[in-house]
Amino acid sequence: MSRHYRARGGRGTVHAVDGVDLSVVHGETLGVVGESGCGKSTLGRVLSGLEPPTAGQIRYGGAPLPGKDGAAFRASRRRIQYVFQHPLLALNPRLTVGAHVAEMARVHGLAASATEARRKAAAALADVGLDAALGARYPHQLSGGQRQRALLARSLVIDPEFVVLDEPTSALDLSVQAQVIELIGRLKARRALTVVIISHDLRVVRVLSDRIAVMYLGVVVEIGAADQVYHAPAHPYAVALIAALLRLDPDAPRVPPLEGEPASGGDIPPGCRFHPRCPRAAAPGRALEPPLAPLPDGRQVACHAVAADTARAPWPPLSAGAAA
Amino acid sequence: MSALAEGAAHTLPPLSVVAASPAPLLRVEGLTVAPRAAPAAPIVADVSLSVPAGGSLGIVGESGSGKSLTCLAVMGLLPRPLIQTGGTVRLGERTLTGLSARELVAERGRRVAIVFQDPVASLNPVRTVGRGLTGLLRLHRGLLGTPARDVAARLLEGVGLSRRHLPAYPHELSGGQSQRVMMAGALAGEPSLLIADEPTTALDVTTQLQLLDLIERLRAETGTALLIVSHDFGVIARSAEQVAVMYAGRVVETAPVRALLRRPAHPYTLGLLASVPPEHGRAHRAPLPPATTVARAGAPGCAFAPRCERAGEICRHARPPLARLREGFVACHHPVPA
Repeated sequence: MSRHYRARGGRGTVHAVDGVDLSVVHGETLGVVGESGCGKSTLGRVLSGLEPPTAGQIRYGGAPLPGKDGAAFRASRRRIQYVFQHPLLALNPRLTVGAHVAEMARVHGLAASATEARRKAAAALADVGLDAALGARYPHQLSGGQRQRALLARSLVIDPEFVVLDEPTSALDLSVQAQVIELIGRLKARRALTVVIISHDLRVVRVLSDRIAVMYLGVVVEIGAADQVYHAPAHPYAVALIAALLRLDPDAPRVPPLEGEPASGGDIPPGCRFHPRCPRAAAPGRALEPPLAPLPDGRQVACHAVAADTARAPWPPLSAGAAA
Repeated sequence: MSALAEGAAHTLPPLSVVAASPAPLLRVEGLTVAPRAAPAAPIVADVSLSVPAGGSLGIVGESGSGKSLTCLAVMGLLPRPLIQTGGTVRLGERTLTGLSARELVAERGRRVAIVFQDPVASLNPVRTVGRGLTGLLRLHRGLLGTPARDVAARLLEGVGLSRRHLPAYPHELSGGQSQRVMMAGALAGEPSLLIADEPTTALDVTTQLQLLDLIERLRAETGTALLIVSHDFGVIARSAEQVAVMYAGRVVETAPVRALLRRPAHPYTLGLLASVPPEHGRAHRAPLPPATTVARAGAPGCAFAPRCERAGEICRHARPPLARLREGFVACHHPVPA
């Protein structure tokens, strides 16, 4: 799947997402991580049907995802929900959060009357830990954590099967972030939701996900079981990303930071996109884009050097850390 | 023995421990900040801190804890609606509190400089990097013309950029580059103290690591002391020797960084540390309950008591003083046992 945009001013094309193949299994949580501009939010919007792919297709439950117009799209919203990154922008400032959640239930035909919609809204708000009294407030009267909960209630009131959460905890204080993580964990367990979590925060993604996909400049460079990717990353970019996490220990070993900054989606390096910054880049990386290839431990990695390691050495040289 | 009795017996002015070094460079004593409209309702109350020459202090806390306002008060940059209603700020031998705006300008930049969270908003969009830096060099060091340009280029090289960036406008720079330019500007006056207010919050993790490494290297080269504010314990662990934890406008715990991270004494510090998502296992119960009301510095009792599972009757009506405990100081009637 790809999603390209025309660059501002009409010059050139921005390859926000460039040939991503992935599947999300019913009931699982897939975390998508990467730095700003890697295309993770674009991927989330396309996965949830809010934007059409430029190339490729998205199939949901066996059928192609409908385009953005028409009854089929509206019907798909019942099952697929995208929870936006900025609660204050996504909530209607002129509606109390209770009314907003109730409206959602009405629009999707899940409440025959206003009373029933209000009852459903109150239940959804209670489900995300918001007191009934808070339902009477406007978004600007709520704290950041409360707004994030209200936004979740708005999507969950219609009982969707598949939810894409875009940066659900960014901009929240640490203690509030922990509350939202607890809430998402609880909702997943109770509702058998299939979830995609998009975040720049690897710790948040690891704690909530079954699998993690690491993106760099529009492509998935590594995807595998969450603990495997987090504790024993294979792709050099994933290795650098996880090594850059700051431990809560002043005596933690210092790793040299990754040099340079990612190129932009409008100016993608030829060959492997990561090669200008990669400590392991060799000649082939400059010429050919490495495919996402399976490793014996089940994950998939797009890297010439890792592929060469796997071919050369008896498996498993890389999973030494993963086994720990 | 009750924790209160133990604490009270050893109550000392908190400075004596925070300032382990004999010659504190920055000394903040009893700093109190309140709205001009309500001077009796402080939002930063009785904050005492010190940074030794060449040393580093981290202030950690959540939004609204007063950590950024403390920095702004140190710089004499409080926004108009706020006023310092008590306490003193001293830098070396000089008392900054009470200086005129003109005198403060001379101190700022030359002796103490600040780097803010949002570099893009802090750089003048219609000035090139070179003009911004040469302007600072004229102001702080009286440099003009070619010498100023040469020093500006050297400053850029020092932060990992180059002479090529002199003609660039801020919008042509990435977030990481902008923060490096801010850092070059802060160092233009060769300050003895650098204040960094959430310097890496807007940056990606790999860029964040580059910038923290840069701060560390520059400090090793120039001996500049650091006051760093962050909500992220990882940043604090990486860059500060001493830590002060703020809650509702007050310092609730201060200790050497290793002691604070390994044996937090204040229940709030403990809860905050436990809120960092774990590296193993699944999502679990959030350690700190949501705040039901806005905690205020001026309220009687301990501001954290409503969220504290260790709180007792005394916590609701008597505010605990910052008292010596183990390697640090803690403001708590029932501190966490070691």
